[in-house]
Amino acid sequence: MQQEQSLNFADDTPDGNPFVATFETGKHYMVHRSYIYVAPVVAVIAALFFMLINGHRPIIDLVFAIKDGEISVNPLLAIGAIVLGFIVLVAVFVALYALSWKNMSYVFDHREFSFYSGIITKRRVHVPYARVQSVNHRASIIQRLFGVCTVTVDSAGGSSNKGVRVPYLRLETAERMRAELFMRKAAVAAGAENVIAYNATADTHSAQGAQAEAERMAQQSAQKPVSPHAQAAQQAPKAEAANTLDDAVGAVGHWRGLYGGEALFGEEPVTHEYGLSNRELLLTTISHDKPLIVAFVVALTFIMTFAFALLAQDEFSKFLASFAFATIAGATIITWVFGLLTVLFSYGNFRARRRGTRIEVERGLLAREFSGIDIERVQSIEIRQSFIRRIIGYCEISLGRIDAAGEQKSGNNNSKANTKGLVIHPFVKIDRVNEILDGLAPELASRPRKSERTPLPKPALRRAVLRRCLWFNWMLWITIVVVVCWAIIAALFNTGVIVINSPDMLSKYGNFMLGSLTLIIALCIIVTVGNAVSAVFWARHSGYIWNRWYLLVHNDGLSTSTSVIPRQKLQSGNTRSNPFQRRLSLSTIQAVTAAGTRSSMARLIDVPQDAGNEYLDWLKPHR
Amino acid sequence: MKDMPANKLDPRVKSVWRINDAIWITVIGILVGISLSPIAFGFNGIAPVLYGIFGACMLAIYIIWLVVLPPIRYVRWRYEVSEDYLDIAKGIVWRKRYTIPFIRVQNTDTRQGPILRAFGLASVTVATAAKEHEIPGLEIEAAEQLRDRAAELARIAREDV
Repeated sequence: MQQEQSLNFADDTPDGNPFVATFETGKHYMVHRSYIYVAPVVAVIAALFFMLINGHRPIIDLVFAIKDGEISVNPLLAIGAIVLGFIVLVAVFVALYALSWKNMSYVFDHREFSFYSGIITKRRVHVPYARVQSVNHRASIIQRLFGVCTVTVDSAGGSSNKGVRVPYLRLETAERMRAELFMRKAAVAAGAENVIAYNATADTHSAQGAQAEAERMAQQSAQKPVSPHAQAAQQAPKAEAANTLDDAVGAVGHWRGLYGGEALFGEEPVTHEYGLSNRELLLTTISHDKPLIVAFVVALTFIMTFAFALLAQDEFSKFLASFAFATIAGATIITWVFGLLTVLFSYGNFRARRRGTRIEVERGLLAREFSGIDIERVQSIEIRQSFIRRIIGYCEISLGRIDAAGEQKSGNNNSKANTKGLVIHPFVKIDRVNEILDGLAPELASRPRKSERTPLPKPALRRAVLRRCLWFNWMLWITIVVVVCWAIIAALFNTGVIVINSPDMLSKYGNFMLGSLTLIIALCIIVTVGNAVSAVFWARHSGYIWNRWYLLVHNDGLSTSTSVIPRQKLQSGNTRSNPFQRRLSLSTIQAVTAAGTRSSMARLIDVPQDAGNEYLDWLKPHR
Repeated sequence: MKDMPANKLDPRVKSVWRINDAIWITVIGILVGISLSPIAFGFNGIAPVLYGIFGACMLAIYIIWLVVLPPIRYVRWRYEVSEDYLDIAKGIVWRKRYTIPFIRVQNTDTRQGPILRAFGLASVTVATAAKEHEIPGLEIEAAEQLRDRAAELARIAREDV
């Protein structure tokens, strides 16, 4: 029954016209109503949280003042006031969002997609279909409960990419919208934008009966959870690797929320699909560097705080010091575990598949993210190994893509994710990279392989060691500055310019200086040795190769990165050389692509000058 | 070394660079001078020494940026518009060589600031989906020709990103 109800475009072509729209051309569509009552609640909670974090001091003071009887209030009255205040706040937000909702609509025109918004200042963002790069959607936890999501349409428009974000669309609408945008793009490309047929039944099916339909379906899915996962698996013969986390959450992981509607199937067949195995998911999480880095920073901050507290040497800091170790360890472990869980959840239910001409990636256990990219829009392939992953021989594969800078500012998390491109496999054994890429993107098969690369010339090693251990070794320079300062202060003591009378203070400062000096020199040695090892690896194993269609640049080291860039996607390229390089006949090659929000660059230092010149010639279009 | 691109900039661009740099150096110099004053007048007798050193440094900077650098920069700055790519070579210490295929060019325009206008010059900007490349000082006529030529070549070679 589920299958019958699903909207199948291919079957709905009345007279062999391949372009069938499920959105009426020129009609204004509203976003889902939940925008009025879900978005404000999220906003109010966020606002309160922000207030609490930033202004917790006055609140604590107030509470203490009340407790100490400096201010006398009737507790019932106080609670009443707080509740009333909260209700008024929410009401104001709801009114604002309702107004905003009334003024928000999207339109599919013949040649472009437009999004209208703004209560006082009217805004209209439009994207010509021809410029559509990718259509993605993501849903936060709360949005998932309601089965709605935010759709992002990325477009390439010169050096400043504009994107449209349409908030609070039902999942079903979002999926239809994606299909619609790509259909209309194809229609424009074929010059057939005026002969698009309009399938009213598919449209009204969701537009009018949506509410009742959705509620009915929500009940249905609650009683008998149907896993679209299973259906997808049937469609994709090559589907592989699922993990216990996916199985455990099963239908819940794919639960489409209150207004989610049905999944769209059968747009185009899935030719390749994979998920993460237990082992892969677990190791992705453990070897991810972000939780480690955050935990390290937290540990360092705590240690610094305690060091300064100890220096004060009053009763309170002695009291603090008595459980310093426990606090530092506790805080570090908690942040680390929390970071691990974040990674685990963000890669939970990971699926990557090839559908028609597009690569689609879905991930996230709580907040869900869907990204799709047309194979023609892939700007580069990036294969990265962090330090830990390098040791165990695994890597992460991602695709460089053009991201929209967007009108609305996206959160920090988003912009960080953008710099990494679209992760198509977070954790894969290095010798399986080609297998994954061939399955997902057979079009890129003529790329050169890493093993065929030309290594760097001999002088690169000496230059790399000098560069990393001396010139660009910031730790070394900081250490030198600290040591010089320390020596000056010591000299001032010895000559009697500075005199400290209290022997207690003297020994305390002496110990502190000695301790910090030892610490910084030890750190400096560790960093320098690390850099030296990294430089040797870099010089030995880095390399470059290009063939008619692709450029491959591999930078080795303690962590490695390989970029494969199709020649068509290279925006510009250049070489540069400093006097030292010129003396040794070396130059640096750089390749610029449009990936990311503005641009990305792959660079390899110290290739032979002749190779640099050949590279410049290779960049010129062949006739 | 590879053959250098054929075209040079207009010689008057040297004066544009000089004026431009002189303005910047003066502004930054005044700011630094002001921020030095608490130290200089905080200690007795230190002001003449400090401002003496400061003045010498400023003089050296002026000489380097206004006398020494512009001719070298001018000699090193070359460009060439061929059938299907733009070739740029520039830089004194770090020598850079760019190849920008016209099939990647999104738009080209000419720009003119007040200093450039005073000399009857304009700069041409060639933008790809990733980066902008500027050819700074050309005679207005030549700049417009170059812009039109680049735009024409880019239009012929148009492709989707």
